Amino acid sequence: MSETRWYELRIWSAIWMLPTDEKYGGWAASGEIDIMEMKGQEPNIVLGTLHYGDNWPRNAYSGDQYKLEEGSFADDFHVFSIVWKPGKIDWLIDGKRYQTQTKWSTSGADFPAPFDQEFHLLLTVAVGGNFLGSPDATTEFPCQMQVDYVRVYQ
Amino acid sequence: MFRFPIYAAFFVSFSLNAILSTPPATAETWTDLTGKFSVDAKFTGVEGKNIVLVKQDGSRVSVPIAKLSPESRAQAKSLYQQMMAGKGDTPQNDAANKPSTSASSRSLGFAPPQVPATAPMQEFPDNLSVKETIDFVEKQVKAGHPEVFWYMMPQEMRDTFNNPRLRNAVNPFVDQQSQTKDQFEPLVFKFVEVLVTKKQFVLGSEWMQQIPTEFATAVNQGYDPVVGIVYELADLGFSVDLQERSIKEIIDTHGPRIGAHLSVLLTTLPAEKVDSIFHDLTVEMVDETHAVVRPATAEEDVSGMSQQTEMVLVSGRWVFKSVFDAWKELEEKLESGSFEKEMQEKQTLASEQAQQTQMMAGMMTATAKGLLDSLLAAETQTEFDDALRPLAAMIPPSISFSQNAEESDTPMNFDMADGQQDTVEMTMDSEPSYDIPDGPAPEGWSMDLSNVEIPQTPASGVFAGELITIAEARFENRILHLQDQKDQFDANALIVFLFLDEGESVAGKSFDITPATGFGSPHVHQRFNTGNNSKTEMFMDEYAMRLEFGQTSNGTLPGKIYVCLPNKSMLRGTFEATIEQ
Repeated sequence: MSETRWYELRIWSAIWMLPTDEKYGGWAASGEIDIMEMKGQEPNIVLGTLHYGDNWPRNAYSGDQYKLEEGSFADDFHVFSIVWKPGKIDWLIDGKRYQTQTKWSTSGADFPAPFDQEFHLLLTVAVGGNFLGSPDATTEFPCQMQVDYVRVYQ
Repeated sequence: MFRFPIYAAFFVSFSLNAILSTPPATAETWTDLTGKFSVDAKFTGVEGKNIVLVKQDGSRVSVPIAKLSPESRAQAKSLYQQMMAGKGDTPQNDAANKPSTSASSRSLGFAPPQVPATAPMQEFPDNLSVKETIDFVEKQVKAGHPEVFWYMMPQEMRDTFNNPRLRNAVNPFVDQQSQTKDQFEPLVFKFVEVLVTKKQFVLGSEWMQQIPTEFATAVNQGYDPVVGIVYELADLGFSVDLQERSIKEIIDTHGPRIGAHLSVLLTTLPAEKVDSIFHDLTVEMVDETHAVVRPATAEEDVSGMSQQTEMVLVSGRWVFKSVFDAWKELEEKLESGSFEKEMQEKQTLASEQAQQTQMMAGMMTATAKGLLDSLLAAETQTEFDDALRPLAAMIPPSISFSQNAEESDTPMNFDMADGQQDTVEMTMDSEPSYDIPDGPAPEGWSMDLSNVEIPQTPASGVFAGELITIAEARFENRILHLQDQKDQFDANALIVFLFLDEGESVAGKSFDITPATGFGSPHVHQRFNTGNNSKTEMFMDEYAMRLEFGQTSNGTLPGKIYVCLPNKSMLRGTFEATIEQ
């Protein structure tokens, strides 16, 4: 669970999880859980996604997005969380569930692989890239993603 | 036009408090707050903030109301009200331009603005048409008689509003209110003193330099009448003692004084502006006793409503329907007796609010006094401007003189001092600073929880120098949100992340957090609304908080909070959080 805010165009902020041991193979065979990703140019939308299936380019993904009714995610802090149980992952924003995934696969093992292994958290702010395009004159620096806390409950 | 502030001020006076009559007593027992002192004496009246008692040996004693025990205070209150109710109506006096009675009892370090001479108000004629009524009101307002709004009502309406049952009920025993008044009154008059005695510095100040030249003449000409109005309004506001004067007397005293300045102010405005207020009105007769008055140029606004004023004919006088409705309601309440009960409730509420205001006032008065004193001490323009600077930092950025292309079609040109024409942008810092404010921390700010008492009033406090009162509380997703505006996602707010476990309830729990608690403390977010966005300060430790939750009932969670943040912000009081999941 974490609390963040950010701004700016062509800035890609994300809280995600990657497999610590890559037991089922390289990306995305061992899985990836995107707790939240946001494109700076769409500051009222965040995405929650699972990546799995097989090694790139035979990988697959599924996910959903959450759109704020008013304002942007840069206006305030929000709590992004997932609840990860065997065979089921829920995505929540400010305590409200907006997505549940129960179907995934990997070429190397049976369900619920690959999401049955140890994952670790990453918090990143990227500039440009295929996901959102290259920065241009409208991209202002410095920009920031503010995180108040990261908590893991087990 | 018909929404003059003066007009509003008159009618505010009507929403007053109630009376309770109790049987008379000859000698009573009086006790003080500590319970140590007690005296048998007869209540004879009130002088200022003291009650006057006559002891059995005939000697008079004067006891401050604030020192009385709650029981004695209640006793004094009912005796006083009973005494006032027995007095009946005070003789009425139509003489206008009487000296302001209150000014003499207030010691001022300066000569109050001179009231311009005006002729007495003409008697309000009966049986005018709507148009004639408006024309007469216009003429009287221009001649310096806003009290025409009172006299336009027929006698029976004036009698009701002037009913001693209303004014006798003003309660001198709500001493929280009078304490608040005592705190503000010297400050307000100090402010007026600055305006009166430092006129050339005010007009010469850096702020005034920012005023576009086209308005500069108007500002110079309007200065004296505006200061006069400010003084008279302050005098009115701090001297509404209905025990001594009837509403009619207050209107007769203050109306012409305010009006005299107002009439001068009106002459400084462009004539077409003033005339357009009055003359571009159309009158639509609904039937013989109902009319609608609206500006001739009225356009429907977004809500589909156009500005209009309904008028009704009552005993040969056309009066505003809103006033007529208020009168009807008051009549009914007086008749049925529900007036007393309702006013009692209002009084309780007002007393609570006053307590809150007073607490906040205590935090701010020292700062304001210091600022005003340094303005008064200024001997030169430079000193005055220097003294003014801390105030500039407190003014929200929306009050800057900035005119950018998005806001206005025509960029504003300023005449620079050297005569050069140039386009300048006068924008104050758009990102206000939430640094630790100068000066002492607000009263009651302490990181030590051992002596903390949380007041039983709705939570309020200071956010980096700004007073705030909590208007909305919700407990959502195990996070407590306290904010100063309802349904406003970027309101000033204090957000407490309690880090509860799943399913863990806070009902009945309390949290004591001090700087020593360290890691694992709830996180507190302090959100500042900056007008166009918000800014949040995070506190993970190094703050003090006492948070006590009551038991949940009907979807709400009551609680008490005391929070002190290292940036000299604080919040304390009660809340009723709605539970949202």
